[in-house]
Amino acid sequence: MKWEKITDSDVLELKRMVGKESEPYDIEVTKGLIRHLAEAVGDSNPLWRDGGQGSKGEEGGAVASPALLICNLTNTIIQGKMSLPGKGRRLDGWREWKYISPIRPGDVITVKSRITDVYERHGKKLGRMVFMITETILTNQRSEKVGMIRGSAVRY
Amino acid sequence: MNTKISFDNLTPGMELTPLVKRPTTRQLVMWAGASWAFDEYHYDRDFAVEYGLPDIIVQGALKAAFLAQLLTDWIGEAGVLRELNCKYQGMDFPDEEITCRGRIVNRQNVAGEIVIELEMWTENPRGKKTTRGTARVALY
Repeated sequence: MKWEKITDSDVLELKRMVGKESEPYDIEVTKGLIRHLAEAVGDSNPLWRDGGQGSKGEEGGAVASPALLICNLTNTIIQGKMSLPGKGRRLDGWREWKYISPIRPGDVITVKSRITDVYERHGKKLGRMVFMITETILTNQRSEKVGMIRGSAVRY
Repeated sequence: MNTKISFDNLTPGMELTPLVKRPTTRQLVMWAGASWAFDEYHYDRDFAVEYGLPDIIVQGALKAAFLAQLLTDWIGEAGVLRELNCKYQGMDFPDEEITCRGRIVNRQNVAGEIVIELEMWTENPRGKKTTRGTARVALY
């Protein structure tokens, strides 16, 4: 068996991680990254390519689609900046994305997360499950907060 | 894509025109590459079965991105997406239709902006809601 059921010690180890912060890392946002994400979604909105007129006096030009926050580039666990102990199977439970200001090509986004809670649940199908709740903050090169992500990673 | 939306019709109960997706395994691999979704059960059928899944499954994040597209297609340049959240409740499989839907649940005027709250979900061909969530958009 490659995957093992979670154990009491996995749960204890996870609970001890509450409050832990991840090692920050940067995403260099390029036109190519924005385009590849939009193409993978099948989203041909011109805003992600050449931008629109720009609303409310904002400068024009391409902006990143919402997929940039949704994708695993902002996932500190997947990016290896935060560990999820245990040898169990893993899944994503829920996610919440807050879009605070536009992200444009040339921006450098710093990603940092913190574990805010760990709790256990018993699933009908999956049995014992441990939920780890993280909060991720994204800031740009001007130290402006551009987005926030909260979500659960589940071991079972 | 609708670049001009009529603000008068934006009342609770109104449903957005659904966005229908039918991701192929090719699209799952494109998303895997662009978004770092490298878990093998999104492209390797033998692995997926060994993992205990019925087949390759569509990435939850891709479904969330579909819901975001439904919203940004709808608002065009009339506003912005402020918040989206979703719960991954069921599996979707390649080459099956995923219907992305949204329904207005609230409309408020906040500091000169119209803020619309929506209920969002994806549906599989058997009518099961596989992703459920809410969204908030602001219109200028």
